Amino acid sequence: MNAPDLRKRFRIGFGLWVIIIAAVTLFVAVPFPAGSVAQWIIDVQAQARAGAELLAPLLMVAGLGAAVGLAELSSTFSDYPREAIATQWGQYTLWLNAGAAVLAYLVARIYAPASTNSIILIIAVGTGFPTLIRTKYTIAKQFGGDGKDDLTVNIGWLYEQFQSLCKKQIDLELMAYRRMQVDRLLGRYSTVQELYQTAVYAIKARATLSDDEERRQLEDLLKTIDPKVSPELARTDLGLKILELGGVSLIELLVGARGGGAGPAAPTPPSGAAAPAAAPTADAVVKKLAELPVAELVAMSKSLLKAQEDLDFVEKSSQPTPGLSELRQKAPIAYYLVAHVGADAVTKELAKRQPTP
Amino acid sequence: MNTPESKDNLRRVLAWLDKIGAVSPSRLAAETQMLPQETWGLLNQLSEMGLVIIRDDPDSADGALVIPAPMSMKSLEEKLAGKKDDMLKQTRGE
Repeated sequence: MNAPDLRKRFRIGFGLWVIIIAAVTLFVAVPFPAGSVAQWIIDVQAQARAGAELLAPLLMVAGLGAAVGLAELSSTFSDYPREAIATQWGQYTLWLNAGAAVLAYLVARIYAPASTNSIILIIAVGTGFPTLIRTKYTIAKQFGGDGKDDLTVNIGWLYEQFQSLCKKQIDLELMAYRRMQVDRLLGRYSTVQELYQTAVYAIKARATLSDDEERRQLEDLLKTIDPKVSPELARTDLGLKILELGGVSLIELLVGARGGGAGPAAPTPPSGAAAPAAAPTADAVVKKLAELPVAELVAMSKSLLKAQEDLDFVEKSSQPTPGLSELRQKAPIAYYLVAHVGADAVTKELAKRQPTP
Repeated sequence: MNTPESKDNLRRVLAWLDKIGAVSPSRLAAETQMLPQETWGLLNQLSEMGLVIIRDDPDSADGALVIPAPMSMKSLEEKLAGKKDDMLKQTRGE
């Protein structure tokens, strides 16, 4: 099962809230003239206005509480603020902050004198209550102590526990989301080489990195591709590095450049349907050439290359060399041939040489 | 000991790597028109100097990938100059 696309969820959620708030505000604030619409609509509008007047203080207090929750989320998960807000536990944080602020306001309203100005009460509760539930009071402080033996009342303990739980759960949800982004990238950029090049580009393109930071990042990158690290792990690490450096926007840009959608790989044509004949890449042609026996590769090269220096290179490279595998002898010839003749011409020549069934 | 010609070849290989980034050693050989054994020799030398990393790569035609270290060109010049100083010290018996 795929992890939910948190950025998309944020965009949709944010858009819906903006539309709902704008629509309700417009409906309540602009009364229809009598007779312009059905009477029941005018009645509903009057009731909605009365309800809004009643609920306005609660909504304002809830808004202030939620704003504090939003600030906490976006500062804790500063690399993925939108995604953190869109997670399930991010939503719980917002609703809990808003709900607690409303409850505090209701309690304050009951005990506050009736003459208390509503706006002052809203601001006092909306800002004071979040402060209160995050506060640790020190009643007695040891002289010169490290704070361990002070007499304290930690009113914020309960919220700290909830915050810690939320942080862990949001981090887990974001981990799945990051993995999904890396998988999308690896679906389109599968080789260590291109992932490494992309990571280098991401480091160099970052405008905010100082020269020292850039150098440190490049050195970190080298550790990622240490020869002891397996290619599979190197690929995943490079994917994560690119995500860390360029964020989800860069992943979307890169995946989009390779014609990628939300899925991890390009769609395959339905079975039986004639797939469009894609031109083979130069690397694919080189690999095919490197599979040929040395003699055949040399013969083919000599038939395609004309310049004497090219023929010399092929001839000298094909000489058996102690300590160098046959593949490492053939691959440079294959690259040389493709670079000088072109992948298309080589592909045609390969097709001519294939035995017909 | 590095002859002036081999130093030039080291510089040439590294300059090329600096330009293109990570690449298959065989492609490097083809692009620089150096023979495979010569290219691998230079790359191994650069790897021992810590200026490039050579690692396995199943996607490469020769199964390997060579990656230049950051600031490798500058480091090469420093190392080559260091070797020259060492040789001078040895000649003087210091």
